[in-house]
Amino acid sequence: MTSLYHIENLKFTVPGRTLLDDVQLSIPAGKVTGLIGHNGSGKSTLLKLLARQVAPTAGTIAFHDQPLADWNARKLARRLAYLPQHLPPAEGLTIKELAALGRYPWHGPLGRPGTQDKEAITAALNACGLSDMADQRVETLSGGEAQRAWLAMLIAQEADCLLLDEPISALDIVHQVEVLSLVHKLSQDSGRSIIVVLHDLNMAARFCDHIVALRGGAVAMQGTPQDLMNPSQLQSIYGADMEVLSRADGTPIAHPN
Amino acid sequence: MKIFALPFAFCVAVALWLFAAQSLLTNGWPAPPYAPDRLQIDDILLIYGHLPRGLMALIVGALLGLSGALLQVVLRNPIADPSTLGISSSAQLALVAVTVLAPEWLAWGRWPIAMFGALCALALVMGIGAARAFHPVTMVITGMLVALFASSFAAALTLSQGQYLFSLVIWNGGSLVQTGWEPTITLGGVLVGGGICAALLARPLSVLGVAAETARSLGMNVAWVRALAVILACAIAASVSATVGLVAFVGLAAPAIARASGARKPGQILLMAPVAGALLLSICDGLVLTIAGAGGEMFPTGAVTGLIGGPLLLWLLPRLRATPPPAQADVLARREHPARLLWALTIASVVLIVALLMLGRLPSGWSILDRESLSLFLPNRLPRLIGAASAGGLLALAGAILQRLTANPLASPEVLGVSGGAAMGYAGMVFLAAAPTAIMLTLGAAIGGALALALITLCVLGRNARPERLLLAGVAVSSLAASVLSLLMAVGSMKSFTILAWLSGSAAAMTSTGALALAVLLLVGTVCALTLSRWLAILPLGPDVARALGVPVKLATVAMVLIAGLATGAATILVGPLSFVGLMAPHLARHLGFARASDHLLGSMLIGVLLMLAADFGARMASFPYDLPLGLFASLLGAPWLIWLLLRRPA
Repeated sequence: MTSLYHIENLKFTVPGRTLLDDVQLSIPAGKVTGLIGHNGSGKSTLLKLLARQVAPTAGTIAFHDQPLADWNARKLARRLAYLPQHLPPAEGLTIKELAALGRYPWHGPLGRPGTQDKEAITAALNACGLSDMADQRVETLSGGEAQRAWLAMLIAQEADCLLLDEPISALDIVHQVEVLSLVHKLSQDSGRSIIVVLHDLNMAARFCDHIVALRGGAVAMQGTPQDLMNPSQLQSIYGADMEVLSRADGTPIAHPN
Repeated sequence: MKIFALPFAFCVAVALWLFAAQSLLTNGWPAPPYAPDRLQIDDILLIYGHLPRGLMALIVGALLGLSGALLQVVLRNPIADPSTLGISSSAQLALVAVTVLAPEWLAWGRWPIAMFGALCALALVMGIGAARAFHPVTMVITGMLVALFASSFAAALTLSQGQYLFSLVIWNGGSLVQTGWEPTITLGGVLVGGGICAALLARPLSVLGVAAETARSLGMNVAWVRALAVILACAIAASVSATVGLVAFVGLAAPAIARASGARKPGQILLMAPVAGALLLSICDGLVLTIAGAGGEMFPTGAVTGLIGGPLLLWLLPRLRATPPPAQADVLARREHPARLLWALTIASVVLIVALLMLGRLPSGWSILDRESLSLFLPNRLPRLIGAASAGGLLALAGAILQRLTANPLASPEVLGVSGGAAMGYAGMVFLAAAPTAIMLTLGAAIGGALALALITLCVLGRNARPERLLLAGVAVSSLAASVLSLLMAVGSMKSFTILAWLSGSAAAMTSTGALALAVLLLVGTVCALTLSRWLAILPLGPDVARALGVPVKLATVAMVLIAGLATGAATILVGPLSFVGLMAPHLARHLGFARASDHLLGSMLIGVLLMLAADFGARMASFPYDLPLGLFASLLGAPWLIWLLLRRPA
């Protein structure tokens, strides 16, 4: 198993609080990794550190075996795409223009967009099922469509690793499944690595290949969804009494008692 | 430690007051009864001047503290106060306008007039705020724009009526000098009444302090409580404005002091802030009296407290939760073929310049200039037109850059602080140099602007600085500049006239070199901005997304601030610190359907050119053959329309 990220002794503090403490972690490449944990367990913070949105207080993060801090900004953006939890308003932009912004790491501030850029944008819109609405304004879209439009930007970026911070937290159940199916497909079809912060345990178990669970700023468990879905493991992660049921197709689903 | 701070401050205040009273106490404390005909002159000064002044400082400070606390609690905004929301300045504008234009109205008393001005500003700021979920930074920027407009309009009115200058300037500065007990007793009554009302509102306000939605679900009429609280705050501030003039930023400082000494709940803040405000103003007044001695009458205390406003805002910045402004609720139009309209605007600008060159006004009517008079007028008129057009373009470009950089549609060059810095530099040169030449004055303004720009850039470079910090730092610098200017005005003489004239902006003195320099700068600035338009397309999405896409966020921010700052500074030297073109043009451009970054920049720039040409024409013609101040005319031209645009609610 090749590792995408290699994290050692990672620590992150804000004045008066330690959000992450002594995290040791390897995240596999080419898989969908779900980051789960209770509120305030540090999952979003960890994702921001992985995206180099913030710098760690101590410890090292290696991305593709190279220290994350050493990466050139645009080179990194060609390999690593990040979607924040709260999507900013994209005033005046069409879906296609938003996707086109994802080409910035490739053509830079001054470079001329070429055919490769155009192809990447078209492919991204296709992958997200947005080809027919490419000229619609992002502001007029529903929550699920807007999420897909932003994913199209990330895909146009042609990074082999996507970091998504709670991409389904503002969506209804139909759109949650829609977006996560798309995320899973993106990984399976082209071998992209995807790290996704999720609140919903069952969604994580269903759509992720690998699970990292945090508790109180430290790694509580990592492994397959099967490793996660047992009452004693869930008790240790969430501190809540959970029951694991089996669906008709045999996949587990957890429910609080 | 914190518990001892307030009694200690009280002792300091009393000691300062007693120290200043020393010169009047040579014969010891006079014995009652205090009938004027039986007292020495020193005793009269003590009983009818110094004593009420000391009390007045306490009362005014308490009133402003209460007003600021009410506004901060009800708007859940730690930087709201009568000065930052423009309430005090508008009350001042109303009073100046009535004094200059209709002095007979003063017979009805100053309080209703001040109240009218204050309520106008309040309605405007609350109206614009309500459409934007009372977003704290947006509210303060709006308030600051209102304040800047009010004070520059008041300055222009003052300028037009020179004979009133000194009394107005001193009053503007908030002098606490007393010649009797009546004002003190009146304001004391206001304090008692306001205190009782505030006490009655304390409980609803503490519920509102949590969240408007929660308060609503708890069965409270949020709109009523909000309205009552802000009107009460406004009335208190207006009563201070009417009695002693503009005493800036005590309302901002007092609740901050209250919080720093441990007040958390709205009720505690409402109780502590007046105490803190009273002590603060009392100490300030004591210091003014001690330093200025008996001649302190010309040195208004209100202007001195203004000096704390800028640094205080900078100190409060990190405490303000940086939230992005709420998204615009209405979807603005988007043009299919923006290039066509851009060409049309370009052609219109050229045609307008030519037309304005040719068109002349004679005492008898209008005429097209013949060849002979054209060659006579050209050396005078062409630089002026080119200069005005370029200044308009530069301001609009700066505005468009700032609005994109901060993703805040209310960002404008006026609140960047560069204009304020330039004004301070200009004023400094007027006062420091014995006989300043035009070049020295320009240099002074340039240095002042550059210093302000450097300060703001430093604020942006700080750790985790969000773009919003930029705007607030700009507001801080602007308010500091305004206070320094009003202090300089108060101590100055005829030099005040020079500064007032420059502040309202005039293109009459434009040289051909200056015009050419501005035009070149406009060209360079536009090319730079267009070259970097990809950054300006990504930056409105916020620093997180920009960073994730590999944009060097800090470098980009500094570059944009520098372009906008230089453009603003250069244009300010011509049209004065205020014109609203920089705020208006990008809005207009966006409403005309220029959505993409490069179209938006070009469209704003061209609209800025057209607006300033129109303003220049109006400024020359409105009171022909006399020139009106260009910047001011542009503000008057645009302000009503801009207000309509900002108040408009999405359908």
